[in-house]
Amino acid sequence: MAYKLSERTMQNRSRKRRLAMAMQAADSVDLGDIATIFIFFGIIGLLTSWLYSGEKGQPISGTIQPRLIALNGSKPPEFGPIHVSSNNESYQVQIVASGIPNQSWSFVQGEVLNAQKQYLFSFGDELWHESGYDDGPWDEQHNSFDINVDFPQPGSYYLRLKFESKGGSHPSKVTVRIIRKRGSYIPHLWFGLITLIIGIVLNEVKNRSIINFIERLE
Amino acid sequence: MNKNSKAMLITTCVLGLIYLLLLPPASHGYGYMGYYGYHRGPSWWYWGSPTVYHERSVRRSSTGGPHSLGGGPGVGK
Repeated sequence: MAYKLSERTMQNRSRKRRLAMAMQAADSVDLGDIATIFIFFGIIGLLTSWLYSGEKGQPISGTIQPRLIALNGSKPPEFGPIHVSSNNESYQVQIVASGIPNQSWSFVQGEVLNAQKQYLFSFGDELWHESGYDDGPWDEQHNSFDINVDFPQPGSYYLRLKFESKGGSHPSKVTVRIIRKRGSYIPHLWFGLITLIIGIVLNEVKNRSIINFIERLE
Repeated sequence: MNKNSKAMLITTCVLGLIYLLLLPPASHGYGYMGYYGYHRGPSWWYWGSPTVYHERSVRRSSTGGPHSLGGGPGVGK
């Protein structure tokens, strides 16, 4: 026998359904909240990375003239001593060249030496200056590079620079800066980037903030 | 404590622990040239590093005597 439900029964059912849904929501994981935590740690990670990349103490700096050194047949220039007082101190070596002749290259090599001036390792990069005319005139150059170095043991260290250039046309001036760093920016940079990306993806799954923003723009 | 609070607490603890565990290697120059000793290059996490030469090349028999050589394009024995 079919019968029509009373209004009160309908209301009771609806209330029960709403209550069940609220209880289910309270007992499930909110991806938006998790996304917020990931984004928070992402930002903290990137800030920490930035702090570790900061400078500490007075840099060792100097300017040399590679063309003059080559003309005079002088010994390769040396910088230092770099006084390392504790294990695993971090430094950054910055090399900036100016006056690289047009259409030429110069390979700048830095040799890291210990207190007895014995070779430990070396690093280098090719600096160049090119120009030409395609749709219009262009002029490009790569005139600087840097490297972060960690000294595992205390002691004195030196940096020796060597140049090798196309046809002996060295840069007219090279500035070297050796800067003490607070540490390595690498661990927290990657931690920050990875957690930030996960946070953004989780937030998109839950709230579609970026997608909605793009849709609103279109 | 409901599921969401538990998930938030666990996420915070795990990420916080990773963050703290990364502090000692960060203050000891992790990934830079020299961190693993001079016989190995920098970590592959370290992007943008110039070419590193950790081997020594020696011209023992040349008239100029033994001296270290790096790895420039024109370097040879």
